[in-house]
Amino acid sequence: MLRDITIGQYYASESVIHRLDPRVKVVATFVYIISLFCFDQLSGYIIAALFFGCMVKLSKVPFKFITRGIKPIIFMLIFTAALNLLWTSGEHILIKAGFITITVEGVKKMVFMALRLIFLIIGSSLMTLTTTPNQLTDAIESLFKPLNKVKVPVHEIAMMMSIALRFIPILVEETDKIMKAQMARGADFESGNIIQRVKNMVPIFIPLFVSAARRASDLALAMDARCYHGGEGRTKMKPLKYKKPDIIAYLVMFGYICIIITAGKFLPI
Amino acid sequence: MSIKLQDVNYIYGIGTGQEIHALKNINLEINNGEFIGLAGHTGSGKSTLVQLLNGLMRASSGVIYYNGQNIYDKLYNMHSLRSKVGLVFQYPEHQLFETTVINDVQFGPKNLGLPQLEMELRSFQALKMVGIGDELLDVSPFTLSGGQKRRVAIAGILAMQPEVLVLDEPVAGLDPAGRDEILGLLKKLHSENNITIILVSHSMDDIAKYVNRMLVMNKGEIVLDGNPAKVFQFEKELERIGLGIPQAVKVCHQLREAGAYITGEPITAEDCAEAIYQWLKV
Amino acid sequence: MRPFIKAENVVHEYSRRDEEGNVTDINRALDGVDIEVTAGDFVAVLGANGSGKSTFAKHLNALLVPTEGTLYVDGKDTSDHNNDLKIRQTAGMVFQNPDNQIISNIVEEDVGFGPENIGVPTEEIWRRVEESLKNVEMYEYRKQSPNHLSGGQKQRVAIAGIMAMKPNCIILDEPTAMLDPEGRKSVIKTVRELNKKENITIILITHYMEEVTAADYVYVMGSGQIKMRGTPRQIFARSEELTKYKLTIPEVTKIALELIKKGIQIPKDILYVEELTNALLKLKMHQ
Repeated sequence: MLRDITIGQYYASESVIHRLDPRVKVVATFVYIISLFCFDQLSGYIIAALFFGCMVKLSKVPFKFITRGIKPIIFMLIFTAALNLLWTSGEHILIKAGFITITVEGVKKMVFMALRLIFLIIGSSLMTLTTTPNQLTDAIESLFKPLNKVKVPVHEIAMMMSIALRFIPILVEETDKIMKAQMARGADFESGNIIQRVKNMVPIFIPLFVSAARRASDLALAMDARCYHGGEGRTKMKPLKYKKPDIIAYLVMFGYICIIITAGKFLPI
Repeated sequence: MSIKLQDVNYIYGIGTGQEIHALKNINLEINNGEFIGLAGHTGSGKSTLVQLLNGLMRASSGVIYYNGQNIYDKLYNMHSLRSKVGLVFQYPEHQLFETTVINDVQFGPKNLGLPQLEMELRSFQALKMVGIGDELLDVSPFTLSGGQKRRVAIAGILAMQPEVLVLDEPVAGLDPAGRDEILGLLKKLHSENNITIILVSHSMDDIAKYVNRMLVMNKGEIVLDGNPAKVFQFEKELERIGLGIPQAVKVCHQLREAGAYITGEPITAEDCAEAIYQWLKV
Repeated sequence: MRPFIKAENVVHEYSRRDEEGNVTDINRALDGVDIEVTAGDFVAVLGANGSGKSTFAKHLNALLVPTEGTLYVDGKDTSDHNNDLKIRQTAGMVFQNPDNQIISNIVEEDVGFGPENIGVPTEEIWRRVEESLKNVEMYEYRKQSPNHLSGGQKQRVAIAGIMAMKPNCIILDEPTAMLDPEGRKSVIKTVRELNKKENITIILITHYMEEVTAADYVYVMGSGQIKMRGTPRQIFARSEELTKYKLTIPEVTKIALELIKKGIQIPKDILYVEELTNALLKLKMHQ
């Protein structure tokens, strides 16, 4: 039912990748995305693909889960590919029909751009598939801690993220309930033009807003009652601690980025 | 006028591999003018059942007839069914949204496309029925007390002039006085306005005194059906499914087990005391 | 012995203000409340909706402070904000809505939330979480999401979350109002066990009469005042007064009172079904 909706798309499994410190995974994903822009020839893509393939194998996540992330962006993918294909000028003209000119350089750029985008998406999917939303919030809180110095409320932002994760499914279910209750009073959410439909949503939005406000004030009281007073002096039940595999993972990432940069500089194709 | 369910099944999450069989082969007939108590543990399927009755959810299989007409027929007007079978959800005060009490109550009649005069007339009547005075018509529903809000929400359904009124846990969270107020209101609606009422609750004490027929659900099936006195004879079964029986019934059962001769199956404290008095006198 | 909670003439006024900040309306939610609770007691506060019982509960946790009068919890004045954390740690609070007081997506992390806030070391948090979850019989659900639990189970997790802060007292503000009979029973059972086995002072705020029969002492509230006080038996023998405060007595007590009206000689403070049937059977034997 609706309560089963999870944010992100965690794939539960016991693997080396799953057990890594979430901070490692966030940093690694970031490094991987940067690495994709460090080369511009075929060999770079092969290295990036091989490296990614190894990670997927290690994570024990079925490949079809990884590629699922591409579906929502397929339109964007086609659009950018087409743009690259049509707008790249070059010397080797393949087809020229009216104002449409397709060059060899254009085809090359299209393929590379599409590959880059796909790698980018499936790379970050691998992170969300192997990290629970809670671990992710912890990692973000820990990694962005230095921002505290410039008065960014890192702890509060992380706390807000984790509370949102808990309450989104509840509010989704509540929306469904209110919608049904108004339908029982004869409300119609399916017919009419756009303006009419937006207007028809008022009987859903107001009760939902009232309920969200009530929940927020209840929760604030409950947090007060449990001695919550910000991040100061707070201990952690599940503190993030680097272990040996995490160090190795950082070294692997470092090795990978060195190889990619070298390849980008020295390999001809 | 009646509702008839034939071999009705409802399954959640078909095709997800995590199917939940919420209703199993329900066969049921609800007649005009009945006051029915539908009892069951959380997850017994009672909330699913009532949402089928006004077409908010569609049975996975089986047929539902309203006044002899198949509501799943292509030509059947589902919209009008929702006004004939009024459903009051749990915590109905959470669906209030208008700026004034009267406007909120008019939401239902407005959706039925009634003329202004008719709309207002029905809303005034409905508010009167639930005991909300004229002085509250133009105040914001959000400033009312919990019990008042709930009565306004019930008026919102009554203003559609339903033939059948279904209420899911209408007294949840109310104090004893508030509980009696709502249940008394339902009793009045049943006897004076001749509305068929289906009262869903997990509290036997609340419903036993008011209804003339009880349905007990467990794990998606109707396991007991009959007048309260008859249903309460199955004390063991009721306790096993986590429902229990009213204290008055329990007192009589225990005395009888100890050999006392107590006639009838009294449900209220007064009747129970009278029956015990008769036994003590001989 | 010093009372654990001592309220002296506590008054609380909610004031409504207009746009310019002038007070337009004053609502006296508490009107001179005097209460004393001894450590280790199980105290029930009964009252209809709007009687001021929830406002009073929030005072015990320093979530609200008295407008007039004083309130001491474990010897600490609640109106001094420096005492807030100490008071909330020693007198934890469980609220009505099970969903709106669970903070985390995983049961064990939610129970750990309180100890984290008061700076308990990591290993100690784990020990406390395990112990508290076992105390409320929810240990096997520790890795689950609270969204998949029943209302009664969620309330028990909330109780565990308070227990993990090692309080001396738990205040429960209508903890069963949104639960089904089974959930209600499980929560009350848990509360009673904590009172008996762990010697936790319990303050149960409710309008369900059946839940207070086990209490040591009962206070009845109406329009912001303490209207009645006594043991459950003393309170329920005064059924007419209770009706005045929009409350009723348990059905079995009602039956006993009806019988007494008819001239049958049985005690008028009966609380349990067995008690009534035994009294009646004894009476019949003597006839």
